[in-house]
Amino acid sequence: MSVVPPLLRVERVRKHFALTKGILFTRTLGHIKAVDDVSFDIRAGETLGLVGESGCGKTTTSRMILNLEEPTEGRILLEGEPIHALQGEALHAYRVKVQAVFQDPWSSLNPRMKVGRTIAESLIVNAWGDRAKIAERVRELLLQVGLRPEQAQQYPHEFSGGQRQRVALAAALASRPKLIVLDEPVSALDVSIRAQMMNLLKDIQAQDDVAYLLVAHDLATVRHMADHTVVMYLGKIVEQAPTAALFEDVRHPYTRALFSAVLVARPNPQEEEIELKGEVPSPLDPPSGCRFHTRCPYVMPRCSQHEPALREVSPGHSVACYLFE
Amino acid sequence: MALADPPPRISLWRLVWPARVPGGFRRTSRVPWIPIAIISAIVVMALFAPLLAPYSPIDQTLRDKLLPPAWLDGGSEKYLLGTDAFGRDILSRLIYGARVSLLVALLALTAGGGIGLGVGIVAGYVGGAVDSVLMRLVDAAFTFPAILFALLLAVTMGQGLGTLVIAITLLLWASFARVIRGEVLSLRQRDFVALARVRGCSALRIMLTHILPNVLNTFMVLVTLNIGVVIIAEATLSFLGAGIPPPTPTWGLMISEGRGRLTDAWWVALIPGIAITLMVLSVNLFGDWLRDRLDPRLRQL
Repeated sequence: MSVVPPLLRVERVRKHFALTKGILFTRTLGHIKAVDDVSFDIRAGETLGLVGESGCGKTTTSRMILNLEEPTEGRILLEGEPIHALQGEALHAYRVKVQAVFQDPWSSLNPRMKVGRTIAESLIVNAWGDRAKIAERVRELLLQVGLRPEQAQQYPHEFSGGQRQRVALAAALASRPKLIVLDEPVSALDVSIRAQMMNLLKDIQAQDDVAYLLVAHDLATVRHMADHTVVMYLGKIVEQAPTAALFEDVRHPYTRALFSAVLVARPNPQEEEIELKGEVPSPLDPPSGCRFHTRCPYVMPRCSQHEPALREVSPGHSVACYLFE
Repeated sequence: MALADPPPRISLWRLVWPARVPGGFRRTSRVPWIPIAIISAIVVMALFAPLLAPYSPIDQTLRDKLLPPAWLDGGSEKYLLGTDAFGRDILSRLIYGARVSLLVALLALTAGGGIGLGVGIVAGYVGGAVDSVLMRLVDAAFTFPAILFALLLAVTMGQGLGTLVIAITLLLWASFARVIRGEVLSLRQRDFVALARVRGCSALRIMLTHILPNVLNTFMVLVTLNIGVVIIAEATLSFLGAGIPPPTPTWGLMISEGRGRLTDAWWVALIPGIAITLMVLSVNLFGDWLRDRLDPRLRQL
């Protein structure tokens, strides 16, 4: 057990979106529980993979970590400081430490801004240095992500998707952040370019000792990149473990279903496959008890009445399922 | 080898009114040269009016009053487009009148367009209560009887360029604000805006460096499409007597002065009427073309 506090701690965070009707006399029809009681830690220099189907709350979680959304309950601490209470100088200091790369390289660069300016933006905004110093840093960053320094003068439309994603990464790296949120960083790229991008991300982590929060629906990416993996279903964590341990020993039926859905070399081929039937239930009206019980092949009577808590089944490996009690 | 087809003949008319393609949309590729030529001619007229006009636009020569254009019976070579009831040269008045029309268009579009641009960006980006309040103001501006208000303004403030520009600005800003706001609403959903926040940009900085440059295309299209509206508004208000006071020549005023003599001296009103029609038609065709080139999403406007 380490005594060093984690870089980022997510503490019992909930995010509920009110669904309202009417303009003048607003009625609340219900709340969408996008994220419901989620906790995890990210340690400095490591990669945490956050996996789940679309709509499971992984993007909402990452937007809360980026301080783009406020949690309804719970708090998020960066180096012990609650980030949603930050103001003024402290908020600037936080903005320097946490950066992001998003999924869609076509939407994440301002089409009217030279890419060099985009990369330099966080340095300019946070008064990092004078013009010459910033220009030098931009040059260094372009080289680091495998682009040519003179490309700083070009506009985004002159770049391919993979190159744009490299520019986005360079912009995220500019302020030497401690954490980069990677929201599906490779899923919009051609398969041939994905590996390059993932290797680039790993090289940069080795050089700069930056932590990643890798949001993905793709297990192969997570396996390649993440030290630790968190699996979410309908706003809840169902399983979390060190990536190696998780891929050795999948426990939760939902995680197993995810594994069955992709062609991953499984160590245990006898293990039966689970094919999920039906749709993900609406987060507006999530199932009672365990949220997965409507689609779970091992459903038991108690699953629809009580909600299983996350329990440690082996060191560092926790599962929220009554099968393991 | 078969001979190549002869190149299709393109009539000049097609330049002004491009052919329809099967999809029902007008073909957009052709540069509207004739409208551009007409607009340029009018701009040159306005800029160099003192050099181009053969006579003073104000001095009266009562001896020569109501002469028809030179090519008609009784017309004089001295006055190419004839004279009005005070014996003033219509060509000279037309040339000087272009100055007023363009000056009013420039000022009113800068003021009205600028206000609309600012309101649209703030309402769209800031959202919430600010958006609601600003958009209710826009709704209110749309229900306002602009002409009536202009007449009221002319009575209270007196006629003049300032009154005219204020009246037209009030007529224009709301439509700019509404379109720009819609554009901003879709822009702010784009990832680069969220990333700018993550990098620590203030709201003001995001609006100026990320939103504004991305709505300028739309803004330029709106400006061009509204030049016609402004020229008509100026002419209407001058015609009603709420514009520039005589004897300064404006196209609307010239029509107003010729109105009573349509039966015996029709050219006094018709010639400035043709000038307005040509100018407005030209800027609208040019604006249509620019819109199709820069921002096809605005096609319904």
